[in-house]
Amino acid sequence: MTDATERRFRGELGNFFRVALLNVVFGALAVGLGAWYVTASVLGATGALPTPALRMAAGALALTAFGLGLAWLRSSARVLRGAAAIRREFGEHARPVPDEVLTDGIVGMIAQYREHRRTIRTMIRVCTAGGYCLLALGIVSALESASISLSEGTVTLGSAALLPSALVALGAGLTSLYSSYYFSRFSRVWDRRLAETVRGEERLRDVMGTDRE
Amino acid sequence: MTGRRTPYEIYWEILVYCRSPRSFTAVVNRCDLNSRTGQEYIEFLCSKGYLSEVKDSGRTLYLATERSVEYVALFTEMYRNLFDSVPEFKL
Repeated sequence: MTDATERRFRGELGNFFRVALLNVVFGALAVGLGAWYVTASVLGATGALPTPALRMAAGALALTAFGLGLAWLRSSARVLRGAAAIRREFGEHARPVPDEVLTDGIVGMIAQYREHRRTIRTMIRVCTAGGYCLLALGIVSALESASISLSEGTVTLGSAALLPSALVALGAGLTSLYSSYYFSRFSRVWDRRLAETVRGEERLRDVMGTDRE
Repeated sequence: MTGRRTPYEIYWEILVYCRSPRSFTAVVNRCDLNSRTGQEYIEFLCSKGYLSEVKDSGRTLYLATERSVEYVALFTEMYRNLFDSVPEFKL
């Protein structure tokens, strides 16, 4: 087996691990932000909420982000656990690893992807929806923290305390969208690999002579 | 190994592990199988002549045969090609 294959496999495993880890971190952040916004917006804890309608909108968005964040966190943790196990097993071997160790790692990744394929698809949807939710939350909070005068063309900060959380929500939203983009790309690559293994099974079946009953 | 594996992936794991003689318990533990499915896989591989039974101090051990080499080589090549033929996932 070539060094290039090993390098590609290590690289992909590392990248996937990082994206899964990023998801766990931002899933936790979405849950935290959601909980904080529900309290702050609905109960008026921020003290500078201009209209009840805006407060209700922020509260509803926060509750959605909280729920999506929980689902997101749970799915991400499951995927991360599988990737971490392969990474740990693979990392125990010095480079270059023997053929069977590399193949074992590849089989492990394929098996993990096969098992978590539906979860990853759900995560892509949740990440996208959660990302837009957090972006909207950030925009609503930014509007809450500032009053804009169109006639004078000025922006006045009403509640500067809301600005950092608005920026965090915007950042988390963008990261979530970024993460779902990478998961989509990962999914496309591994779907092709999965399809290749299905095609390859026919050759293996031929070598074995017959299918296992 | 965890995750959802196909029978062909499990055959490969058993055959690679049994390059040295292994007991039934060692095989099912290493390949994360329950006794019933482990028995089925081993019986199938024995029936195909990919595994042979070796007696050692009254114990039955399983050893991969020469016949399994072709299967293992094809499987290894096929899975390696997954990383050569499909574009890489990069950040």
